[in-house]
Amino acid sequence: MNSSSDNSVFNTFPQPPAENVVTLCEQNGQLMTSQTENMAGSKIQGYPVVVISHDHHKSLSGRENAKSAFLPHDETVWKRAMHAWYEMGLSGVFQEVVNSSGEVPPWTSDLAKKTLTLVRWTSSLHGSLFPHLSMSNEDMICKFSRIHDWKRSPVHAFSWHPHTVKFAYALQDDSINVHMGKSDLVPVLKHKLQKNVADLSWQPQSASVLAVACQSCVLIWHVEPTSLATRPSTSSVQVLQQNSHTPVTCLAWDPNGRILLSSSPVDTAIMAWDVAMETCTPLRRVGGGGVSLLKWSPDGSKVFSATPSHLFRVWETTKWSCEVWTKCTGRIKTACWSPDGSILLFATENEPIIYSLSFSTAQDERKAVIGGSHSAIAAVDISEVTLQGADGKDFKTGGLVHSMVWDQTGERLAVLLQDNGGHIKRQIVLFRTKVDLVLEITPCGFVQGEPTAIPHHISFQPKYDNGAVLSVVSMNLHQLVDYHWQSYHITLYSQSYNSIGLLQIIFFQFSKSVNTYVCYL
Amino acid sequence: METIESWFKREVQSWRTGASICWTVISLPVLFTVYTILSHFYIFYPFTWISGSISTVFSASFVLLLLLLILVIVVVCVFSISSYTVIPEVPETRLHSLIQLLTPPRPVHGIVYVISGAICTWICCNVLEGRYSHLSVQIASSKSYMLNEYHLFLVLYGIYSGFMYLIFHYVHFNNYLQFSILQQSKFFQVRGQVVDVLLTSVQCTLWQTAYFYPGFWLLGQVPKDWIVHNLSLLRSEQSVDTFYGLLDIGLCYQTVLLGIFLHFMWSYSALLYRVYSTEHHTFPIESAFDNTANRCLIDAMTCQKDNLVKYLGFLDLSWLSKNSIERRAQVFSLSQPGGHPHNWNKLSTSCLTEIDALNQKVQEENWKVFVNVPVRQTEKPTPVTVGDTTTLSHRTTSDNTVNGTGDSQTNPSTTPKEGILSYLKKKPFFSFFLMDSPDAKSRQLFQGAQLQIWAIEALSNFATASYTEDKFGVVQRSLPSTLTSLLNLQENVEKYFKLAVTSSRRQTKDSMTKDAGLKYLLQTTLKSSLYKIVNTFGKHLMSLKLQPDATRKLKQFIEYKE
Repeated sequence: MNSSSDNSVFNTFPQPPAENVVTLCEQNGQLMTSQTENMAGSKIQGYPVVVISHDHHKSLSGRENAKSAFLPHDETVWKRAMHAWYEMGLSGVFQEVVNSSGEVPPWTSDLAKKTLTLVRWTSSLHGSLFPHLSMSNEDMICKFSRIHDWKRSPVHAFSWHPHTVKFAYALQDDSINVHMGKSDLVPVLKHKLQKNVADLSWQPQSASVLAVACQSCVLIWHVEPTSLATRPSTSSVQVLQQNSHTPVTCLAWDPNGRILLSSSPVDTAIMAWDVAMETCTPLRRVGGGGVSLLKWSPDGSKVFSATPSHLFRVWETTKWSCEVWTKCTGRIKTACWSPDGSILLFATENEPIIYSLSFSTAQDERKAVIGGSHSAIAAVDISEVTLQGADGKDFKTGGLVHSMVWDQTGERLAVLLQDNGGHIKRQIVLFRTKVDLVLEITPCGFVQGEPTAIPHHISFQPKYDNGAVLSVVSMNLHQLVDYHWQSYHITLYSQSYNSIGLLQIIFFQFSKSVNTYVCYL
Repeated sequence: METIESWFKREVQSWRTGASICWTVISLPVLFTVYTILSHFYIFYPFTWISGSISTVFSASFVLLLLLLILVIVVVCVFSISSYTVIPEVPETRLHSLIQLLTPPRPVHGIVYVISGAICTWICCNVLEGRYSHLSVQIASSKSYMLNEYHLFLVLYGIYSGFMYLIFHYVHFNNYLQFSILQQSKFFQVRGQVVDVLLTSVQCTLWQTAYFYPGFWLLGQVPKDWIVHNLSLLRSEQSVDTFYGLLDIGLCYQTVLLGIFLHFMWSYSALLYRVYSTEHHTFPIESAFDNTANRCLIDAMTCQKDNLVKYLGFLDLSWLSKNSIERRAQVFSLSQPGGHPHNWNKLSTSCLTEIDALNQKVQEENWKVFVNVPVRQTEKPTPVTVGDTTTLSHRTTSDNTVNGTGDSQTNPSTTPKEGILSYLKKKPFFSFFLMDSPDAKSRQLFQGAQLQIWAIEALSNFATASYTEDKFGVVQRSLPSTLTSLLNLQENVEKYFKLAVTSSRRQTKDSMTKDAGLKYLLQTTLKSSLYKIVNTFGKHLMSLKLQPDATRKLKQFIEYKE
């Protein structure tokens, strides 16, 4: 064992599971596992079975700009640039030229790239040059998305409904599927502006409103729960567009469902939308170069906003003043709030540490207070270690955090680790948490899917009465052969188990096969 | 005893107005300096430009002119106070909006703007110096004076700008006090909007200048002759109202710059006034002293004479229901002695009255639509299903167009007056003025809906908070009546949307005015408020004693099917 990782929390973890077992649920404080073959028949009731037919899917390899799917290939770059001009204005032209730099003279693409950088740089109010401003839209979304490996992930965004068993996910072809309860009816949402979907968010205190963060705008869908249409009409879509606020990569609803915040890594302003009136109020503060992450605290009192540089802010929501924290070691990669809004956990891009920041809960109604503590405390050290698994094999774990979710009871914290360039398997680690006067984080165990499945996204179902449900979106690799020119089936299946315990785990797993789909249910 | 509106005007509104004017005055020197620097712009001589504008800015005459400008803008601000309104006035046709412009006190504002436009332009011309500065110039060869057409052109443009701003102010709802969704501090509100205001000013100025040029080309002779005749001046050698005279790029630049300056100055002062007036004000829930007893929240909410006070009262109620535990506790408290929940009773009654009043209006409107249709179709009225909404609504609009007022459903035969109206509407010129704007009816119905939106939010927030905070069950006792009112309004609004809202949101988006979203906001607020109650109480709501109709609708919400 490496001496530098003696402090790593993994040294106190329960023994990691063997390679060929799947974690089912938590029972009496233990994570229960099962052999892959014996899992069938133990599902939680009431969750939909998800099957996606192949024609909704686009080639996984060589993903290009979403526009290229709709245009004949023999169109010249200039014609495409003209289309981009109609759609997105001048910056769209430069974007198009930069994206197809192989087809234009090098000086043109160079010039376009520089102009694009300049345009974005001037639109951001900050005085210093940020490297992310010269990225293409897709690279930028990939960098700031909540989905691990956004470009290759079959699912581009995933969101649970806050009140009922309903979820939506965006696929690579930018269509969105909505699953409701046990219903077999799966509305598919498509719109011509719905490109490069980076985030989805259901409106709280409502049954049917879904906000979609797209490349050029925010779309608001009204998915009527009683409607029988599988392709809801685009006339019910609201388009919320704001200049120089593209691409939109993050959305956050106020828990009352009144305000929608949207952010873009190239815009220093957070847009606060009054969705019904279709008006927006910018919340702009100088510094940071953009806003990469937004998290509204569950009690509604605070909003966390991270920037692509080393600073982040916390806003209070009565007067909308903010406090700023600088001197982070790196960009904030992920963050989550405790249910009462008193503790914020976050992790940076370049340190295997989960930090905690506490906020005073004292209420002073005469003036708005944020009351954040002066500096963040390193709560958990998750640096890399090698442990021994139940089957006696070496089990490498730890490293940088990709995303972190806290369940609504405040008792479990799930962390999706990065694969660190492929030499560690991407893993989900589970902690027990207790928010009393001080925050207590203790190890719980490893959540493991099938040996060939790679997790891309984790989330807790926001409303579940008997504990918590962790959902994992993963891609099953064992049939991944390079068949990208052929059509293939992709099936998302929920695999969940009925047992009494605090935590239930659902795997939404994508597997693909060329000929027939092997059903695991 | 002093009434709440006069107290509010004296103690709160006067300070707010004063502060907004004060900030206008403070920002004016900066604005004027920027204008001066830009107006002295020479592209080929940057050093002359900078040194020239600096020497102008630090001269004594500049300070005097600035003081005069401040005086003018203060007068304009004071005069325009009475023009602001919390309820947008929705004209049915273009003719109505013209008539609205001519009803007092608007012509007075018009005169104030026109005069202020003229004076401000005169001030700017003095700063500009050179060929723009005076109305008359001495001819070098003789002692006689001749008319300076450039000066005249700009002053006329200033007058025209004043008039156009009046139209902008009223027709484009610049005078509409819209309450912001976020209660940001005033500085950030102004900072967030000032760029938009500037862009709007540029846009308006370019648009109005494009019409001023041909206008001056056609009619410029008239004021010129008048002035030459009355002041016995000589005609100038170069006349501006010719084709080549108008092609002067320098003049065009100065005209546009002046227009932007004037428009921005006025709309900036309006912006400050709006931000200050719509600021949240905390009213006490109850008062222990007799002399302030009628300055409580409930008095503000029931104030009939001043809508702004009423609106601020409801805003405060909605705010406290969401943000303030302390004040909610006061609402939930019982009276001593007696043990009656007077505070809650008064507040909730006042909210429910507003909601029921709107419900009544929407219901009547729905009935009009119902009754209107079958009369045209067949002799005896048949029940109309919601299914054929499109045909139904088309017919409705055409009915309203023909009837003008839309209330003649009982009398299908047309009177001579209506006959003339419908004849005129077919003529192209008159139809421009007489055509109904497409959603005027629904905008008029929901023009004051902001009040009900706050009332609904407040009731829902109180109900939600009562789950943990209401020790005596004060709110929960009235939960059935609250739910019934909300569900009724929700049903009627949904019905209205199906029956009468003809155009979808996307079609009207281009012509969307500031108030057009209110009906959608009301619809969303109703749903989210009901869901908030449902999410808090869950299935327990089913054990409330409600009308079977209401129970059925509530069930839809509990199953998340609305």
